[in-house]
Amino acid sequence: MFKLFLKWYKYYESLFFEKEAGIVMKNKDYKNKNLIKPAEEQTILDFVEKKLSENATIRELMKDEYISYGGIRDFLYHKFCALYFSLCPYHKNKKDETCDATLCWLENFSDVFTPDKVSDYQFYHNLVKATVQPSICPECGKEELELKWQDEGYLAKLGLINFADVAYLECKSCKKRFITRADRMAVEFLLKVFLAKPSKKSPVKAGQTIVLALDKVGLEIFIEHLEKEKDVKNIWRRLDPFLISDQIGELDLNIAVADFVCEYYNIEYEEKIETGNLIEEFEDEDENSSEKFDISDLFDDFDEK
Amino acid sequence: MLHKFKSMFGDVEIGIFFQMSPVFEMFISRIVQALKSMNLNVQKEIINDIIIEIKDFRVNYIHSSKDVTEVLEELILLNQKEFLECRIKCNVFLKSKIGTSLTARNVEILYSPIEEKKSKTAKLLRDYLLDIQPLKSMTEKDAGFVKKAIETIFK
Repeated sequence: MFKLFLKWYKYYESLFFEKEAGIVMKNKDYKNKNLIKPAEEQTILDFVEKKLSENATIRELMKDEYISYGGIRDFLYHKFCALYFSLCPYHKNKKDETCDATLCWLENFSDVFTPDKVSDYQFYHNLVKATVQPSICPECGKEELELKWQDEGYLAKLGLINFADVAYLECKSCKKRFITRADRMAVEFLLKVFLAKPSKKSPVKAGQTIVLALDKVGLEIFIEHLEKEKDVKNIWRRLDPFLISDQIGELDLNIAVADFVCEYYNIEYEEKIETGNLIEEFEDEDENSSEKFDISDLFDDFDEK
Repeated sequence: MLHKFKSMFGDVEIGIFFQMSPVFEMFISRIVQALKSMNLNVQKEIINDIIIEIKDFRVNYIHSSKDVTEVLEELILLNQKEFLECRIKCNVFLKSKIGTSLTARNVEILYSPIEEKKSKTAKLLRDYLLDIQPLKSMTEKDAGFVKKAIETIFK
């Protein structure tokens, strides 16, 4: 039997104060635990949470919600099902009445999938589709747009820079294709950066392949942020924060966007992850929290910073 | 308001408890149903903690919109419970067994004791009796009078 509280609202009104739903990063309770689980113990939920931990799309979707969640793990668990990320443990194509997402999420990931078998395009498909613009065809006004990925060669005709992982939408009725707003912004901006100051030091060079981030919402926020930046050197640093584009032979914006997203949402990882006696520390923490059990503990997540 | 809630759902201890009355369990099922209808993945089995904050509690006769919340205790005394229906507005904080949590505000629950019994005969009987129920029309017309009358008779 579960524990239950029934409270008279006057006393606890303050607990339910209206807050801007969403962005709560302080899930120290379980977040780190999941991130360090050995691969074979990961549940599907752990896998998806980890993959989306630096993703702005899911966080922005969470912000729009009417319900408040403790964090993205909570949001995923209660609102989505594994199928949304093409990870249905029963390999179904459609949800049906026998589905119980709360159980599917907890299936062991490695029992059902191997990480390299899940393509990123499949994984991100629904998430990207739900958030990119345009949502209706600007040509014929129809609502049925199909999301497609172009992994290589889009805009190659410019002859200078190759863009990869471009998402575009194809209208089912008039067959016209539209590059998503986020990708268009990114392409235009990067060309501007290239033309403004061609340099060996610039991460945007002729002949370079630029991989656009799969997190399209993150990409959009990132580019909006860069557009305000005056110093081109800062832009270069942002685009290639770890200075690895030369080594890997392409500029992968997934890295730059993830780095930016961490800062933007103030995502912090506790450094003690690396230490050996980690499990003990967590156990201690758990004990403490159950000892002085207080309702206000449950609302820790809502504390505003 | 909590007092009224209790007269409908039995005495609910404030705090942590592991034994609930069947009526109250029904109420929890209703909450779970309401959350499910909001497209949330919630099952009774996954709940670890739940905090329910009653925001609003209204009572009326079934198939009627007239509010009789004011005389709820008196009506229960007169065995009218089965004819009543309550609308509860509450905030729900829920923590699952795997540690995830969510807060839903202004969840609306409709509860009627007899609806839970699923017996068609009981419902038919209720609807039949409801029409010839003198207390219903009297209460809806003048709740204050009923209240006073009950007080005079029983005290």
